[in-house]
Amino acid sequence: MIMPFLFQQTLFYGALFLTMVAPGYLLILCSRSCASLHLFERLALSVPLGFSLTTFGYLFLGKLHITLTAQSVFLFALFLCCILLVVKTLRKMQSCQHSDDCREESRELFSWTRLQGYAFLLIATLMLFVKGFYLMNTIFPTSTDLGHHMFWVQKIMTTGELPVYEKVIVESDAPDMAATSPASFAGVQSIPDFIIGEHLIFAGIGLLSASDVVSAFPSLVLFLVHLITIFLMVLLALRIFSGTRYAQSAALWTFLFIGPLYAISGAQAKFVSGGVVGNIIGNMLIVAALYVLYRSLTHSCISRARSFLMFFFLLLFALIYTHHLSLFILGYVLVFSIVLYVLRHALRLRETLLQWGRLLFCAPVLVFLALGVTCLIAIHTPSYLNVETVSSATGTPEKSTRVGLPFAQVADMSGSLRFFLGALGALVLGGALIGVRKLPGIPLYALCILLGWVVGIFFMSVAPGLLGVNILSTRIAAYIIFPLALTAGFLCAWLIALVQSRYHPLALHVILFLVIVALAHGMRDNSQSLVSEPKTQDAVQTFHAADYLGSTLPRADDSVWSLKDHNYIVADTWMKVIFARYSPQTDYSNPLSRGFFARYESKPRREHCTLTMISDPGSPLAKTCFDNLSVSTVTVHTTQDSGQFDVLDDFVKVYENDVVTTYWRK
Amino acid sequence: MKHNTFILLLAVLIMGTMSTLAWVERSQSSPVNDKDWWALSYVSPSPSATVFDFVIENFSSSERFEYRVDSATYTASDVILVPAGERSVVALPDDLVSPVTITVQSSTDEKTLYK
Repeated sequence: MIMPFLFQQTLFYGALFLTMVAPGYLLILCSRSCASLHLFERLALSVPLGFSLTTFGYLFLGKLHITLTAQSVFLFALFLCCILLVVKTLRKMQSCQHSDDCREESRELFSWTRLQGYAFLLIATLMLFVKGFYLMNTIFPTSTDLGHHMFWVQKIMTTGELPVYEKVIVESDAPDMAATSPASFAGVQSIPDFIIGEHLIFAGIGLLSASDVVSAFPSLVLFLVHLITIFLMVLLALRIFSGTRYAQSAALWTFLFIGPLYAISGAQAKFVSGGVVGNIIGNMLIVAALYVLYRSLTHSCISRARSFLMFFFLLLFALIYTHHLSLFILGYVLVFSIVLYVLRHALRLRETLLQWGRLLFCAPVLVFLALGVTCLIAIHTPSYLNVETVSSATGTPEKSTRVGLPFAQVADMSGSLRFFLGALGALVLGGALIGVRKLPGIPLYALCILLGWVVGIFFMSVAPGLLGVNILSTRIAAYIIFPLALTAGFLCAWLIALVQSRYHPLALHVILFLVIVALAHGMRDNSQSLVSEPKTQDAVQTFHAADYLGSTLPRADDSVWSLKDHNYIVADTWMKVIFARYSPQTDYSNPLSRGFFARYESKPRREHCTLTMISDPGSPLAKTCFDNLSVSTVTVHTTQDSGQFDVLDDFVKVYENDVVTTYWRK
Repeated sequence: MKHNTFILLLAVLIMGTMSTLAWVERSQSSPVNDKDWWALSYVSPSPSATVFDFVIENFSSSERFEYRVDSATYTASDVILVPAGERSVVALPDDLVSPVTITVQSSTDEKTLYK
């Protein structure tokens, strides 16, 4: 058993290397910014850049009608790496006068003391232990959201083509009397919530490593992306505070607040196993984009600054293809940062605009931008880029869940101590921005990006109406933990440096107090977020039933539909993933689902066929529904819903295990 | 500590955690590991199929299964041994006429198929 596992793991890491690490790392080596990046920075940045290159590459392959198979994605990865290697070899790196300064600066910044090095490793170990411990009970694929996403990944792997995000919809024939009316298929509807960048990378890794989609691999990819986001946060803190004497300390404190403390709740380990794919990848792209943007704006060598700016646009376009909400958040953060910078720098606005113009208006950057826009228009337009979807996300909030969260809820969601320290840190930085207190060594760009990031997301969460944001407020608030960790990290490092600089006898006590309080509160939050052991026995039986059904359903006739129950069956969403393994043509809506009972009451115009066909299969309404919707098989919980089918002559019982039973309509 | 050693150590920590999680998931998804269940199904489930052969897949500690076949023209019963982690197909005569009920009993519970 151990050898196949090791072989599978080798393939998996090889696939990760070929799709996410190698292309990004080689791209950095080809760029002028290479000399300004430490090895650790190159490795961390290589993942978001590699992700972006691979995603665009697969889009081009799809557009060229090249089928995505294990061979084609392997050859593409080799081809991409070879091209980048050739470019790197042929290109004569133009040395700029600041080359040695950059290297020296990076060397100094990463010359950590032995104590700092051990502290970093200790925090990293603690983080991996806490997140890993939580994931041990949640790594088994049962999450509904992850199941929805993995359907598309399986579809790409089965067909080798770029998916069309559409589903067949079922509507009541008489919505005013939906509870008593039959329903029919009412055409095909596009699904703007799914974006291709969320799925291509998983398909590539799955094909290369020959991994089963119904396994740990999707969550492990998300876990790696999440870890890279955290390391990028540490690097961002290190660069932002590089002019201060507490840069390493701020980076370590930031690492503590975003790594092991409050490590599960919110957009962290819970989102990894929960399959919130767009948020996890989006956060990585946001942090990486802000990192390269900051380096671009503050770099003294114009050619390297432009190189960083091109990375920024690459990550921005990747974000457009990956997650609309993250793109929306980044847009607002940039607007807030720019407004803050312009207000603070109003007297020297011309100079600022000239600097930005020098960065932007040069042939390589403009060509790169033009390529990105052409890709958006001609190669593949994300499904959410239409007037209807954009207008539904902007304007006055329409629902109670979108009008903003109370202050206390935002604080609670972010980890109250992290929120408190982060808010205090933002206040100190705000004071420096308006000139109340000087913070030597922190550039204006750093202040504006940090404050724009915190304040922007805070207002989007608390008062979305003021900003014309019409999106679920809890989803927006989940993004605030990253800038808060930075400002909280800054506050702790700054306070300690302040006390130490005055040789205060209580300096050590202040440090110990902060560490103990932060650890106690953050770890308490972790302990409250832990979950009990998973019901894998039930889920395994659901997968077994789906596999049986998927392999025995007639393939010639695509009009055969299945129905299953979502109330009692564990991991039922994954049934469609398994169906997609067997049938390239299967629809996202197949099997149809009896949704949560409360949904039928809260939405009275919703079709009731899916409810009636399981709850009362012998009724005349159910019989009409079965005929209208061509439903052949029904999968229900063995002890909860078998009784009503066993008494009917219309059904044969074709499969049974301890938790799931399947009936076939005659 | 040298930077390369530092990064290598970090990479080993990350890969160690990810591989541990993969191993945990692998053992959780195994139908046999710490599981106790079995499944009964038709070889040809379609109601129009006139083949009534059925399959017992065993992932429980019990190996002994007693089955009984009932139809208007045919009745049979027997005991079959299916080791844990294995499946066994029971072939029935081709000339059976619906309705046919198959009842299989293990030491703990009973499952039924009919068509």
